[in-house]
This record gives sequence, C-alpha cells and structure tokens, in this order.
Amino acid sequence: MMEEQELIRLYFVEGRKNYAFNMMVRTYSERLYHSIRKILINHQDTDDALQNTFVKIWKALPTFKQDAQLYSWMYRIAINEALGLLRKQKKHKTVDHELTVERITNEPYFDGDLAYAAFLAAVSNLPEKQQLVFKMKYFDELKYHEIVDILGGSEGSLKASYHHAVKKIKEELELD
Amino acid sequence: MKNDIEQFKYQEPFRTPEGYFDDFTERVQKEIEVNSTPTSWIDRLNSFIPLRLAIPSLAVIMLCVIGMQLQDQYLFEGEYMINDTEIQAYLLQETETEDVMDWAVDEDFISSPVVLEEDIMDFLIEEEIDLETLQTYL
Repeated sequence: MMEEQELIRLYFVEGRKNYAFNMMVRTYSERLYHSIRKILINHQDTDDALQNTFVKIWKALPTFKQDAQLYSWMYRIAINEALGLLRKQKKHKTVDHELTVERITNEPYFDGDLAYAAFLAAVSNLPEKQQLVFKMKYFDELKYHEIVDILGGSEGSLKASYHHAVKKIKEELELD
Repeated sequence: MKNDIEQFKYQEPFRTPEGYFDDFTERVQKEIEVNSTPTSWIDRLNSFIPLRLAIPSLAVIMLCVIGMQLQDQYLFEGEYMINDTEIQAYLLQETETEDVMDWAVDEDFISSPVVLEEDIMDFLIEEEIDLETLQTYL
C-alpha cells in the first residue's frame, strides 16, 4: 500500500492525477466506509455519503496542502458528509431504545448480536455532539486534539462529552 | 459476557454487499463525471432557488411601478397643476388685499370683512372727523 505522502506527491505530478486519486479511493474507501457506517448505520446512506465524500475530495485536492495529513483531511470530509445526512434523517428517526435496536437488527448487512445492537442503539440515541465524540474516540481511536480539529471546541469540553456519553450508555445498558 | 462497554470495541458487525468495493472506484469516477459535466446557464439558474423566486417577484414589482407612473401621466396630462406656493405668489404680485377681500365676500368664503373698534378710531383720527361731523352722517 502506498504511503500518504507518496500518493500526494504522485497526485501533483503532471498527468498522474487520475491514477493517484484512484489509488486514494482504493486505499481509504473501506476504512472511511466503516467510520461513516457507524454513524449512519444504514448501508445505502453510507454508500451515498462515501461517494459524495470522494467527489468532494476530488474537487478539493488541487488546494490540498502537501504537508498536511491526507487521511485526517479525508476523514474530516467524510464525517462532515455523514453529519449532514444524519441531521437530515434526525426528524424521521426515533429515539426509543427498543425501536432503534429493532432498526439495527433489521439492517440487511448487520451481522452483530443483540447485545451489540443494543449498544449501538444506546450510542445512536445520544445527543449529536456526544455521539460523534464517542464514535470518534471509541471506534476510530482519535486523540482529543484530532477531534477538536474536526468538531471544534476545547479538549476539556470533548472529554466531558465523552464521559457523559459513556455514563449514559452504561445506564441505558444497565452496565457497571 | 464482559460487563463493560469495552467488549464492543474491536467488533465489526457491519458488512458490505458482495463485491461492493470491487467497482467502487469506477462508480466514484462516474459520479465525478456527472458532477463536472458543464450545465447550461438555465440549469445553473434553476438550481439557484432564491434567484428563481426573486426574478418573477422583481418583474411584478417593476410592472407595478411602471403601471403607477403611466396612470399618473394619464390622470394629470392636460390639467393645470398648481400648488399653494404658486397661488400665494400670484395673489401677492397681482392683487390688492381689498380685491381679495371683495372676492372672498362675493364667493361667500367669509361673511364680511372684520372691522375692529381701533380701526374705526384710527380712521376717524386720520380723517380728522369730529363727533359733530360724524353725527351728520347718522
């Protein structure tokens, strides 16, 4: 697999733009897919968000600063795209725990057990900021300063959001 | 079962349809082509919803303004427009106060000119009319 810097260097070489971009899609699409999927749950929504993400990446690549972190930049675009879709869906989605569990287990491409569905339902029904902070920290193992770059705010407020999220999830799942 | 949320951390319960990533790059390329196809200026205008609403509204407002101006023109064309200042200037230049007073009385705008007691006294003194002379008038 090609390194980030090599991909960027290749992109800015005359005539190699398409090749370098296709390599980026092949290298990062699966990783970005799973980050988006944990936010949107549904495969079709994730597919739409992922395609839009790469269209935006293609359009923005000419202005990409070559010394920046490529994946972090792509991840930020992907999360913002997912967030936009999540906000559109919000009014149609229920916050009832049992119904959310049912919606997750009914997803055609969900292989998890009931315990995982209950866990994901508890996460999905958190307030937006707590949900995103939790997912970025817990699933994608981002550092707080990286989350600050994406969501804004201070590290202190993000830590508080994460701890509130953990507390609420444990209460919902009746865990210690 | 481990009684903690850490148990879910490294599970990946979501999968993708068979072969989803095999043609994903091609699908992205097609999406980019669709997005970069030049659109006509009408399409671009149509996609800008506020402008679509603003143009007809602006046209209606302009028609109203033009209509009102034309209406004013037909209403007052041929009529002699005169304002208060012009009337005042005419009266000051062309007429004597007495003429105006006579006209006002004739036209019943006022019942009669108001004559004050001190005006009568001034008149009598000015004309040097004494009481005896005055009595001859009565």
